[in-house]
Amino acid sequence: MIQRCLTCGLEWHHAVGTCVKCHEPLQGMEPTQFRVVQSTRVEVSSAAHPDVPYYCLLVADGEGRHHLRKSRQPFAAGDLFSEDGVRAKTAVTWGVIGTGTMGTGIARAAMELGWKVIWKSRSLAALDKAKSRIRERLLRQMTPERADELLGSSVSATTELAPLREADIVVESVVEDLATKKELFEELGALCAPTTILASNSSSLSIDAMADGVSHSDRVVGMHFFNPVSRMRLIEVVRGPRTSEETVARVCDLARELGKVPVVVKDSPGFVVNRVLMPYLNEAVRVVEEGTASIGDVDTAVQLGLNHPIGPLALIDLIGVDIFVNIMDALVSRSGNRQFEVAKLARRLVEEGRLGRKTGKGFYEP
Amino acid sequence: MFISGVGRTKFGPLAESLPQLLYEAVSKALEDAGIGYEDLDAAYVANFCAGPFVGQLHMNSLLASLLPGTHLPIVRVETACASGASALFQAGLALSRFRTVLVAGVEKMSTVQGSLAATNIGMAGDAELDGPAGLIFPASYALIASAHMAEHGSTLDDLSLVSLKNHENASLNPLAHFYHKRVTLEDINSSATVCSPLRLFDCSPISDGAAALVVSAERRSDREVRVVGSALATDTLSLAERDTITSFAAVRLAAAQAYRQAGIGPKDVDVVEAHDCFTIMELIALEDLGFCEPGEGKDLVREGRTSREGDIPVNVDGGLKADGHPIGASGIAQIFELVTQLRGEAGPRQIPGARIGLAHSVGGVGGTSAVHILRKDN
Repeated sequence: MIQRCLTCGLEWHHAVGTCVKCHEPLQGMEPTQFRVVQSTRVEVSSAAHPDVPYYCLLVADGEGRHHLRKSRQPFAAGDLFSEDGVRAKTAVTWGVIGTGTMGTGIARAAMELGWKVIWKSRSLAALDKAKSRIRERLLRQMTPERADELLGSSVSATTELAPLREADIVVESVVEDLATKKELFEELGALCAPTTILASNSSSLSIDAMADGVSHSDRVVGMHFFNPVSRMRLIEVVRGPRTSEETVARVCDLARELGKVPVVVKDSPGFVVNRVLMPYLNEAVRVVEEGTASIGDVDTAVQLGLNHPIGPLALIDLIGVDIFVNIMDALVSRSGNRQFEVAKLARRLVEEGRLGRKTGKGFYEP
Repeated sequence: MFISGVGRTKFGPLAESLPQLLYEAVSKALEDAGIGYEDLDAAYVANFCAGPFVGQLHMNSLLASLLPGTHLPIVRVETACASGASALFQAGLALSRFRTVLVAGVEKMSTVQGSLAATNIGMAGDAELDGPAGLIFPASYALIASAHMAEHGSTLDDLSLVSLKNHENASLNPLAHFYHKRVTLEDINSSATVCSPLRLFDCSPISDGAAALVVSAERRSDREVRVVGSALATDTLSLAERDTITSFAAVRLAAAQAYRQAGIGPKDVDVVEAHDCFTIMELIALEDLGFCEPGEGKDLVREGRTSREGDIPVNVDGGLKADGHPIGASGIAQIFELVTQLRGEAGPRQIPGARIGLAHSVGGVGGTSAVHILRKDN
């Protein structure tokens, strides 16, 4: 916001209201079109900007006034920069299915880069709620008017599948159930152009099983985001036996444009992160089960001894004990390997309805 | 105004606490002036960031605690990285009322690392205009460096030369942060990028340290150095509010005033302390202080004219780059070096026959600038 005194021409970059010299009310201006003057790639993080690298841009408005902006994308001196966010170099239309934590995070990430998002859910109420969660985040950076404008221009909510035919990539983040996902992919396969990438955010199911019966199944791929999407920089790009090189390359490029780091993994139980994490969590439960140490001491030992930000049992409570048990069961059934057999104590907690933070009780009780 | 005594601690990551550092510098300055603390009439304490870094505000009373029973009028001065020089400017004004004034600057920064340190130092920028854009301090100077390179053809190699020279100078200054560190051009050129194009070796370090001066209205001894120019000017807080970012109006204004007060010009200066918080700043300082035309700072550096053997020796103590940058103390440490040089007490780094010195201190990205000119009368 620029305020200018129409009498003397003095200007302020802060909304000060009246001219200190003329005592006249000031005229407010909010330029939205800029040209980049200089930019720097910032490699060191600060409290308010933990994710690096990012770009700081010195931009000039139509009257040559300087402004400062942040961007996830590089810009060269002379490039045009528009406030309403063509911050991504390529125009990509995203289809996002699901309004849970992950679906909302993915929709927000795409939207913040200036990409169009077609957001599908079974209920309009869920979509409204998810949009208002994004709006809350936007209000930390902009006025309510601009937030509404940005949401309105970039997100179109729908309860139908049909609008997704416009998408260049569809990412589904619906319930972790193979039958549901298979059905969804079959319908999308028939609906979308053969070049539209069909991606699943599944953390445990087989991409190949989902691709079965989908037309042009070489564009079915896993795109496993991590929670919270805005802060976690990893995306596991899951390559099924049928997934084409081109599909993998395009998804990796999109991941990078989102400011994330893609890691390509074979379609396998748990991919990399869960495959490494879950047996570790399971082992922690076994240690408690065997009476080697108390719950609190196991967490303290790991936190202080391995410098982890959170102990394994507290982490299971955060993930949800039931989710943890489901993932372990999936690892066993997909790999046939009994080494992934979930510790009995975890199963017992699920039976007792102690599912972790979401039920207020899990390994820990408040 | 006369500088009667100077004192400082070593700069660098130090074990001593904020009050310990402050006390050491004050004690040394009093001892150097040959006076007792009961001879002081008033004091200014310069500090930028003890609030967020060590949770300490009300710094003037902290200094009172170190001078028990004196109940002196003491005021804290904070103008970001120019705090020390601004405190001296303020002390000069106070001498119309007081005979002997203490000026002490201190900073304790090494206890805070990484992103929190970047956040704290970023408080020198505009919280509303710079903060949301992620414009941390090195990012500001990276934009300035890119603009300077585009406008004047200065290069990264020129910045490397500044860094190399200041590190070489610091190796002759036992109190410097990097006294023991030997730095080669290859070290500089292969250091990690902080904010493109600036690399780690283009940035001043995070240092602890303190420095102090005793200033007097009247001459006390023949070791005294006279302050013949003392000027302070300000400018907008954010780079966004400036038309040009390759020159600092506050520096040019303060320098013009200081030269006028001293009755001298840039040609008369024998030794310069420039505020090289980032290497690009040393080039711009040479230009803004009138040692060359805009864009020619690089030529002085390439020709070696700013080295100890050159005709405009700059940052003989190592500068903020290699002597260190305990923010509240830096501007006072510049005066410490000039006084030491003009007295002929600088040992192996002595500039022979130095008689007039200039100190250039800058807060933030030029939101504050103080310029002091010192002269030794024989």
